[in-house]
This record gives sequence, structure tokens and C-alpha cells, in this order.
Amino acid sequence: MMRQTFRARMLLSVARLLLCGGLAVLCGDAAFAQARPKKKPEPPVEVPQRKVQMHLVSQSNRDQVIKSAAKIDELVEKNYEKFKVTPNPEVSDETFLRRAYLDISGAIPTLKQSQTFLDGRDPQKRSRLIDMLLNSRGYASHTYNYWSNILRVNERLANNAPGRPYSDWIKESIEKNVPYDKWVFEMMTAEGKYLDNPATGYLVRDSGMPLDAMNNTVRIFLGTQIGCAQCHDHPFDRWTRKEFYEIAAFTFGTETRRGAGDKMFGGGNVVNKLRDDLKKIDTGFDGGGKYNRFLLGNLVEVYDIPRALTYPHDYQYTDVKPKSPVAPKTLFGEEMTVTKNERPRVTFANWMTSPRNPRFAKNIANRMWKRAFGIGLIEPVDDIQDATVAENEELLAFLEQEMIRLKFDLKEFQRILYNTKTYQREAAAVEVHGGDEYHFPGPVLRRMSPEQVWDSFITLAVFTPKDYQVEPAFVQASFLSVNLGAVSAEELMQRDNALKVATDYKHRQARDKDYTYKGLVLARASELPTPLPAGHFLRQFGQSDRESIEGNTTDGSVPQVLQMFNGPITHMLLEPKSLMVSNVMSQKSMDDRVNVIFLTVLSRQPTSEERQAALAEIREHGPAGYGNVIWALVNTREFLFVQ
Amino acid sequence: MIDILKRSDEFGRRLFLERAAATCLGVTVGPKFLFGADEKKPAFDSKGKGGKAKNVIYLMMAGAMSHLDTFDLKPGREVQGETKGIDTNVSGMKFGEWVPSLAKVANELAVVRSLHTETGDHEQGRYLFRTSYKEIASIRHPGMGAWAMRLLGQRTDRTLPDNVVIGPEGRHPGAGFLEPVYTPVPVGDPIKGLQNTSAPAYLTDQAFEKRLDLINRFDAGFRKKFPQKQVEAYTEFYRQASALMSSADLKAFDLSQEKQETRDAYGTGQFGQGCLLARRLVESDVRFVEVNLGGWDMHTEIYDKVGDLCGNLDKAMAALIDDLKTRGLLDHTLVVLGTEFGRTPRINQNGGRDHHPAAFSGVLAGGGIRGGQFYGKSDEDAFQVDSDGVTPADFNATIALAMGLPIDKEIISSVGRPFKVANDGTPVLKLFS
Repeated sequence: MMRQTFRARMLLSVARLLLCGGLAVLCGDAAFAQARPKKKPEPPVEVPQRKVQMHLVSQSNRDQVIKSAAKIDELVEKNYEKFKVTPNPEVSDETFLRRAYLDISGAIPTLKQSQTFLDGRDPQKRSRLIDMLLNSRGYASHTYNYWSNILRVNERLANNAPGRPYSDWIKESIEKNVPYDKWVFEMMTAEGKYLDNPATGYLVRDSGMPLDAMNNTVRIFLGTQIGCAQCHDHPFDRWTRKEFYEIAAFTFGTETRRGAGDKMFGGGNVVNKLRDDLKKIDTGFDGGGKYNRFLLGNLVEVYDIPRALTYPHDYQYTDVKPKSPVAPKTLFGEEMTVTKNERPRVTFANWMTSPRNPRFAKNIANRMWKRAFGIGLIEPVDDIQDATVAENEELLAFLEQEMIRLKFDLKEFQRILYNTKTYQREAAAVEVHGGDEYHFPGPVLRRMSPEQVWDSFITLAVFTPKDYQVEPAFVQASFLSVNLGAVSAEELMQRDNALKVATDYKHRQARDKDYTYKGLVLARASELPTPLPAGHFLRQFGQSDRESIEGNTTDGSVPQVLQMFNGPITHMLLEPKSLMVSNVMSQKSMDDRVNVIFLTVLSRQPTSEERQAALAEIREHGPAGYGNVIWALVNTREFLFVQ
Repeated sequence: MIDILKRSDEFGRRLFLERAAATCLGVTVGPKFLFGADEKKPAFDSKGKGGKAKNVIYLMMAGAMSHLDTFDLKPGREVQGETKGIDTNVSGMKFGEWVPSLAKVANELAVVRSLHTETGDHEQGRYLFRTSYKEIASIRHPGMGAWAMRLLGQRTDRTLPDNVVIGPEGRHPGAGFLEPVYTPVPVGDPIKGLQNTSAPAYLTDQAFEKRLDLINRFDAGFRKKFPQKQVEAYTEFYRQASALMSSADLKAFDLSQEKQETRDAYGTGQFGQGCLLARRLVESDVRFVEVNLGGWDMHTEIYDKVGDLCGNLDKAMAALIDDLKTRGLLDHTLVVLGTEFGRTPRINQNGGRDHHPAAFSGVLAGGGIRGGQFYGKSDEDAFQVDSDGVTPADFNATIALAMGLPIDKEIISSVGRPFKVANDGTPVLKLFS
């Protein structure tokens, strides 16, 4: 990761001299892994990478973007007048820069990126920066984190089914900017094994819980909570238990796992048969779990059977009889008829993702608005009711219309939002929560998401963090995917061995070694497994356990502060080989170094008082003073918040 | 701008109301005064019960624990599934076969078999049990630990926190609308304890103070510009973190101080070790410790899973009760077993049980609770509550009473609305000895 140019090496030795006065302990760690020249070099281990192709925004659309943005501003301003709100002043370039980087590409800018933008003279530079960030891999990474939190993406999709194929599929959809309606449609209607058609992951995630799965789907994609109606009529919304069953009936025939005795495998229990055969040839196999990734994993498949949902035996209302069959019926909008040749869930998906669905476009437009401004026009974003009135109905109607005009192109939609004057105003000075009266004099001040905190730290320390990629799904999938009806025990054994080799320590080491610091992989959060262990930096800063929809939090805590004060990630910044230290060393005068430290950490110049304080600290403590200034700056509250 | 007005206005109004109430009415400001409703409900008469629990260990079963397979058996009924009943050390009390160790300390346990709520949503269920209030968008209610700290007063002579949550739980209500000082300290992994508590060896105390001073100088402008609770909260966490770093009591978080046999007795998993950590913290007089155990959401093949998970709970909770008793801590430590809701009596087509809020069970022990009893009854299939129904608010009011918290006291939130610990729930006096 760390460039080893001659210049870098020179800087390195200076850095050691400078920082080691106060940081002797750190230098001893020498923990930024580097290929050691002393050992005889082994042949390089191949590190397969997933090819990333980013969809790019079109420059020819710019006029339309600016026009739509102006329309949004106009509608927001109507409410300023109506509610006597004074809009916040426009943000400085410095604040805009940091906000745009964090909001669009998920991490603070590097020193070089900051300098490039701040020194630029193009009057359209903000708009161009927005485009550049939307086109960057950071956008895909950041957007993946957003959906991963909503969809509860887990390393383990189901028993014996790794989650990587599904998560790679989500990443690729974002990179290619697949239209949102098509993307959701694909998740809802996908068929096949999770290995062959990873879009099935969405339905496999809630395996065995068809009613909960429907509840989650309606909540995520239609912003509507029908969960209460699973057991009784909704006490605060209009949903009846009957309606819950009617909507759930669309997907009730969807299966997520084949039985081992399924006819397609040729009769008998194919898993037991293969287990018996394997016992004969593999002396290390006792019939236990060794081959389950093959034997049981290949049963994980989404398909449909003709199965009717019936009302529960304890159905307590008189409108239908307990145990009677449920006829599928949509919740609102168009009535749909399930035709003979169509799977019911396709009918459902057509209804849900249609531009005519009254809540599909509204939900995603509102969610994207919240993403940019910190608070939705409807709050909470996943509890839209018939009586719900948006903060600005006309604005939300326009956003819905734009979403449909753009054919659910979320990148283009966000491009418009970020180009508004409203987005480019200063953040609210007072704290605002969902449900408060707020008329968008500017965005809301937010603590960084857990991933933004982590990715920003990585940005401060590592030269090329975006180059690290988690092991792509195809590495394992190419071995794991077999036809259980046709595969022999011999082949399974061979595949198992080959899989072990392809994913062994050597391969993991080859992938991780340049990115490992004190046992932590220093890569973007989107390339780390989820959920991470409870004590991991990301979890401490609120990353979800992936059990609840949108389980991420941005609350502070004592362990976070201890992590920031004393944890390895903070001290990694002070290592001689970190990008941070290299930035400092690239300057000669103490004054310039202080400037560079502020610009690197907070993306702004110091005020004169701050400069004096920093200089005094450095004069007093010599080289260690730099370390103290850097440490203090990353520990500021300012660092953790998106202004 | 409305929001600025709101803040200053709020303070002014509250002050006005408090003064007016004190001088004119001689009462504390309550909802009745604010909203013009009818007269105040008379204070609850606790008949001298409660007030013995100085500390609470709350075991939260995330995913919703099956009541039929643990504490509310219906032998001979189809709904019983595969679970068999076993005798406990109290005659007439039977538990599920999966909790044999708890059966041996049943004389310490008061089992409430008539809990009921209206929500079948996991997060909402947990929220309700933790706060006694329904989750809504516009306000976050405080958890019981924060309530306890707020009502008993913050202890300034201590460096250990008074509110700790063990085990991962992303969406804990924490201090809710109360001050950040009452926020529980989360310990993600009890085996690792509280991490990063010592400053790098090269830093002297002075140098550390210097660094803290620099932080405050560097973001003075930011804090002035954004005088928000979410920002100020970090100031409080800086203070608490610094205090902890120099605390002599930090070893309370260090499980390696325990004998291996003790560690084994609790079970070596996250939950067992979490319970052991809770005991250590209570020994150091930490007031409220919550330990989380997830995995109860058994929609499929419940009998493949319930034995293992119950085993986890059984070993840890029984060891905890034994250990607290041996150390003379049980008299003033209330141990609570809570969950989100129950699981459907009828076993579904996938061999699992689904969500069932209409009737389920919870347990209280120690801290002045009379053990060896079942309280409340569900119907013949454990489907509905038959008698003595207990809501989460009642359950929490019972905890509050055990802790000696004033359940009638109103705390006004920043938006001027009054709230009470346990949301006007009624403590169950029969649960006390």
C-alpha cells in the first residue's frame, strides 16, 4: 500500500527522526506490512479481483440537472416564506468539499483532493466535484454500506450458504447503476440457486419466515409498516389482519430450499447418498459437517410451488373464516390479478415496483432526500400512513415525478439533490430529529456513519485503500456450485480440496498483507465482513449486527472515545509510513506543516488561534508535538460530524 | 427560525412552570397541569415493599424466548411440542427440561407467566421492555438503567459507570431524552472487557492532559457553532473515558481476574462470560447491567435449536444466582430475565414457533423478590393471559419499586412532555417477599 519510492524512503527516515522523540513505542511496531527483501521471494500468489466498472454520469445531462435542482430550491423556498424561515448561508468551499466527499463517496478527502478542489478556479467546480464523486468507486462503496444496513447483508446468508455472492451482486448493481425499480424487481423475482443467481439472496435472507419477509419487503420498499397486522388489526394504521394475509399470499408459494429428496436429484435422499459415498473415499470424513457447504449449500434455491396461504386457526375477526384460503390482494393502488402463466410473486413485484404504485417512488425519493439532508420529508421514512403529510407535499410530489422521469436512476436523482442550493447551505445549528418541525434551511448536522468514521481514518493513513478488495464471490462459487443429482463423491472431494487451496492462509495473506495493521485489515468498510465482531472499531461506532433493518446507530459512547484516544487506529496515523505523516513531511516550514495537518484532518485551514495553539505545542514538545496535534485533531468532535 | 425559538422558549417555559408550580400550587409540574386533564392519580402505595435492590442485572433475551419450552409448560397439550417438564426444587413448580440448573434454584425465582404486549416486532418489543414506552419517531425514551441513574442521582465520587450494556445491541435506547451522562457504557465482547483503557506508554499523564486541552481548543469554534446535544454528548464521553483510564476499579471489567473454574461455571460463551462480568460489575456496585442473549427467533426447527440456547441461558443464569448468593449479593441484586414477546403455541409447518405477544413469561430473582413462585396464568394452551396480566410497564414498575425508584415522579423531556419510569405501570406487590 505504501509507495516505496526513493523520495518516500527519504521522507520516512526524516519522519522517524521527527516523530520518534515522543513516539518511540510506535516506531518499534513497524506494523505497516511491507515485503521484506531479505527472505527469498516465493512465487507470487495470485489474488483474484472482481472487475469494477463504474457507470458514469453523462455530461450532456447537466443542464437538466441544474434545472431540476433549481425547481427543488424554488419549492423549498416556498416553505421558507410560508413558515418564516431564514435559510442558512451558503457553505464555504471547504465545508462543501468535506460534506460532498463524505455524503457522496463516504470518506473525507485526501490532502491532495482537498488542495485540487480548493485551488480550482472553475466557477462550476462544485457541480463537477459532485459528478466526479458520483463516478468514483467511493460512491459504490458508500452506497453499498447504505443498502447493506437496510438489507441486513450478512457474511452468512443461510446455513451453509455464504453471503458473498449476494453482496457482490449488490455491489455490482450499484457500480453499474442498475435502475432501482429493476433492481428491486430482480430481487423479488429471482429464481435459482444462490450461487448461480445471487439476486435470490434477498429472499433467502428471510428463509423460512414468509410472513416476516413480506413485512420487511413492504417496510423497506414501500415505507409502510404492516407488521402489527400479522397478529391483529393494526392499532394505529388502517391495516387489518386480513390485508396482511392477502399481501403475504403473493409470496407464500416461494420456497428457498430444495429437499434432499427432491425429484430433480433423481430420487432417494441425495445428501445421505453422497455422504455415504464420501465416507468410503475420504478417510477424514465422519459423516459430519465437512461437506455441508456442497451438500446442503446446493439445496439453497429460490423457486415457486403452488401453495396457498390460509388464514390462521385463531383468526379472531368475522370477515373471513379461520383456516380458509387467502386470495392475494394488493395493499393500495392497482388491483392485480394473478394470471395462470405468471408466478404470483412476479405479479406482486410488478405491482410493487410500478411507477403507478403510490408509495414505491415516494419511498425511495424520500429516502434519498434523507440521505442528502439528514432528515426525510416524511419521518420515519418507513412508516408512511394514509394520513401522513410530508413536510412539503409539493416538493415530495416533484421528487416522485423526477424519480419516475429518471426511470429510477438513483445516481442521477442524487446528482440533482446535491446540486441544489438547499444542499449547499450551512447545516442547522440546532439539533433536529425525525418528527420535529423542520423546513430545510440547510441540511442537518450528523455524526458520521460508522463506515464514514472508519473509512475516513483509513483515508488519513493508507495511500491506496480503494485497491483492497475482499475475496470475490466467484472464487468460492466456482467450486461450490454443483448439480447434486449428477456430481460424484470423487468430484466433491476434489472440489473441496481445491477450494481449501484457493482460500488457504497463503491466499488470504497475499490479499491482506499490505493492508494489515495490528491484526486489523485496513480497507474500506464495504470490503470487510459483516457483521464484524462486537469489539471491532466499526461496531463500536455503531455498525449494525445485521439483525435489524437499518440497525446502524450514530450515538456516541465511552468505548468509542477510548478507541479514539488509545486504540490502534488512531496511532496508526502517527506511524512513519502513514499517509498522514508523509503529508506533514512533504512540507518544510513548521507553519506549512500545521496547515497541512489541518487540511488533511479537517479539510480546512486553521484559524489564527488554532495555528498559534498548534505552533506553541510543537515548539514546546518538538517532534512529538506534531503527533499531539494530529492526535488532538482526529479526536475533535468536529472530525466526527458531517457539517 | 422556529427551532431556535423552541429551545429557548422551552427552557423558559419549563422554568416558568416549575416556579409557578412551586410557588402557587405547591406541586411538581405534571401532565395534568400542562394538558388540563383531570386530577392527579393518587400516589402508589407500595405497602412497605421494595427498595432492597441496589443493583440490577437484566438478562435480555433477544429474538423472543419461547415461553412454552421454558417456564410455562402445558403438559398433555398438543402445543407442548417435544419439551418435557422437569421438577424443580420447589414442589409443584415445573420447568422445561432445557433449564435443569435453573430448576435447582427455582426457590429463588419468581416466574411471571402472564406477560403480554401488543407488538410482534422484535425491535419494538425490546424497546418496550427497556423503556416501558412504545417506540415513536419524535422522541427516544430512556432505558431502565438511565432512569435509575437519573432518579437516584449521578454518583460523582465514582470512576466506574453506573449503567453498562454487555453484548452487541445496536439499537439500545440508551439515555433517551435524558442527559448523555446516563448513557450505558456498551461492552461488545465481555471476554475482552473494556478495551483501549490505557494510554500509550510513551504518554505521561501530563502529556495526556495536554492533548485533551488541545482537543478543546481545536474544536471550540465547532462546538460554539453547533451547540447540540449529540455534540455535547461526546464531551461527556471524553470526561468519562478519561476518568476510567485513571480508575483504580478498572479491573472490574477484567475477566482474567477470575478463576478458570468460575469462568467455566458460567459457560465460556459470550453470554456466560457476560453474566460473569455483570457479577463483577455489581460487586463493584455498578447499578444497572444488561446482558444480551440473541438467537431466540426460532421460526424453523425449534427443537434443533432450543436445547442449545436454553443450555446457554440455564448455565449462566443459574451460576449467576448461585454466585451472587454465595457472595451475599443476591439480597440486594435483582436479576431479571426479560424478552420481547413469546412464541406461538402452535408449531408451524417448518417445525418452528412464530411471534406471540399475547402471553409469555419473564423471571425476577433476588433484590427483595420472593422466589419459588409462579405469578399469573396463561390459558390452557399458553395462548392468552388467563389471570393477573402483567404488561411491560407493570414489569418495569416492579423493577423500579424493587430499586426504590419513585415511580410517580415525572421527568420533563426537552420538548416539555412529562414521562415516568415504567410509564404508570403498577408494581406487582405479590412478587415481593
